[in-house]
Amino acid sequence: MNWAFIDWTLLAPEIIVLITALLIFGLDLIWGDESERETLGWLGILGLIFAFYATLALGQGGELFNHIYVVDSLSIFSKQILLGIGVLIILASLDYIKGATKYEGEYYGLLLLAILAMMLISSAAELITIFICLEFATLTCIILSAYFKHEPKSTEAGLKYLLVGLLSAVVLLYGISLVYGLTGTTTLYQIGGSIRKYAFQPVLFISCIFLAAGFGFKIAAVPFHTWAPDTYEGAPTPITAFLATASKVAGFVILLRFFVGGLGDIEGHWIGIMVTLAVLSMSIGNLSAIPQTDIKRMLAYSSIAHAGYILIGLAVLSRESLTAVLFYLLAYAAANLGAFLVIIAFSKWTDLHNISDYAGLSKRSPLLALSMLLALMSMAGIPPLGGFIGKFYIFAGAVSEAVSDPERLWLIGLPVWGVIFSIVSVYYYFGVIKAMYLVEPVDTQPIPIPVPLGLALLIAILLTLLIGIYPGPFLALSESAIQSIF
Amino acid sequence: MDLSHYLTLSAIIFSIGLYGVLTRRNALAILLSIELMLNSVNINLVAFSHFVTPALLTGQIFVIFTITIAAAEAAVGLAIINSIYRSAKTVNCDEINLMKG
Repeated sequence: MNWAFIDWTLLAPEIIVLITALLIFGLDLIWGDESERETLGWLGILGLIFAFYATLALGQGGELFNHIYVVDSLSIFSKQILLGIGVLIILASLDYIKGATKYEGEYYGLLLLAILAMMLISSAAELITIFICLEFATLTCIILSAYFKHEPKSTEAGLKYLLVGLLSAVVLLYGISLVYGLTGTTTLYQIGGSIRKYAFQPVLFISCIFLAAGFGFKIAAVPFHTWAPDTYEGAPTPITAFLATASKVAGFVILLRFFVGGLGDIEGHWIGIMVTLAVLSMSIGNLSAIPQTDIKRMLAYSSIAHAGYILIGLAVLSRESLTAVLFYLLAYAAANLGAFLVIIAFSKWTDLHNISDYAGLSKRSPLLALSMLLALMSMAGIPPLGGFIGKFYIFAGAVSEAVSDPERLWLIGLPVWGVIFSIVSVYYYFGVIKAMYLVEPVDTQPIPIPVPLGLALLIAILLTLLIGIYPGPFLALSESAIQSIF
Repeated sequence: MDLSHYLTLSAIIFSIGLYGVLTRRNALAILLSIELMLNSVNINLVAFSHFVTPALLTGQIFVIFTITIAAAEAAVGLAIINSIYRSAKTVNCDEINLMKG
């Protein structure tokens, strides 16, 4: 391999994030004074913004190391979302983490490494690379969920994430080894070429199940979701927000690249699996969310349900529906961040986590209540917010595919199922809204919003509104992203 | 000895590991069972490397990477089990249940 011909500028965003992370670890060692630690957070934000600028300069992208690492429109799209999520999470963490732990600097460093790992996932196109990047992301996320090591809940969250995460990684690896054994190659690009000849291969079907189990863990789809409620509840809230958004975006991008990009020609092997996961996630996610009293746990189940809606797009497998997948991810990430940022501000001030504790939030802090209202309404799919447009495109994609192809008329069942459970979901989202607006507050003390968190909240909520009111540019962005694999 | 022998051995070890994960309640024992499953996959990879792509060493290189990752997993896993033991005074997964529902 001639190193001179490698276009290192394609790796610029990753290199910038890595250097910033290492710089944070280094400065954290040198600076003894606690008050300087907040600067490290701002340094992280600066690094992420620079990396974002670097992604804008990537242009058409390209591939590195013989198709092991691809920089195409899909990975650029996903990296931009991940970097944006990273900036908002750090903004929200600045106030939250201060005084909560002695190890502030390492928190920001690890967070940056987790973002780096997810950026690598979205570009990885080779089995070994995919496995290593997934493990890199899982391990950093495990450490971050168990970050408050003196809080039993946080360590328990870490333990559950660890055990389920490692199990799913091994299952994924078994699936990967079968794919390698069948094709004799590890690059997705060559796998796609050599696998085309199989009509139906039982081994391939089994390995697809194993692969779906591995990726299903990352996106928290039923039945691989058991870690999600406990980890979301116990982990530090900014990390919960990070897991619910960034981890899911990265998981779906690798799912798209692997199944649609790599195994797209043998879709008969895996469409049934996706349909099963989608139906189970929608039903169990929404039904389990109803009796929850802890707001983070409720949002965990709601995020499982959202994974189900998005999986409809994969099961339908048309240009329209895959575009809708990426669009939905964008709308989902914005709304979910909005909701979690409100929870961060509220729980930092009151240290309460139950839905009933949000009673009278509209009187204590009208801004927080309004943001929460918009975020939850977007997730419930109420127009004119981002979540509504996302759901609309996903369901419309499924319906138009079912109508145009008589053999796939059964696909119409998926959007019907989705609409039924969207209506169910309105019930539990409105439980929170009712508490905030209609119930009298027990404690009338107003809740202050730290400035960086307020800024992040403003960005997330404006984005949710913008995606709903003016979806054109975001849809065009998703469409150009999906063109690189389908 | 052909490929199927190795695959059978690997499948048996994988199942033993999975059985261990599902039945054992001690967090350390679960971690050990997962390591067992990981090693069964390594047998798979080396066997495929030898029989499917004898000229290339892809599978064997893959195994070196998975062993390294297993070490990293063990480091993180033991650290978390250690900190859980300090707060809960147990590593039994049935007794570590602050969160339910």
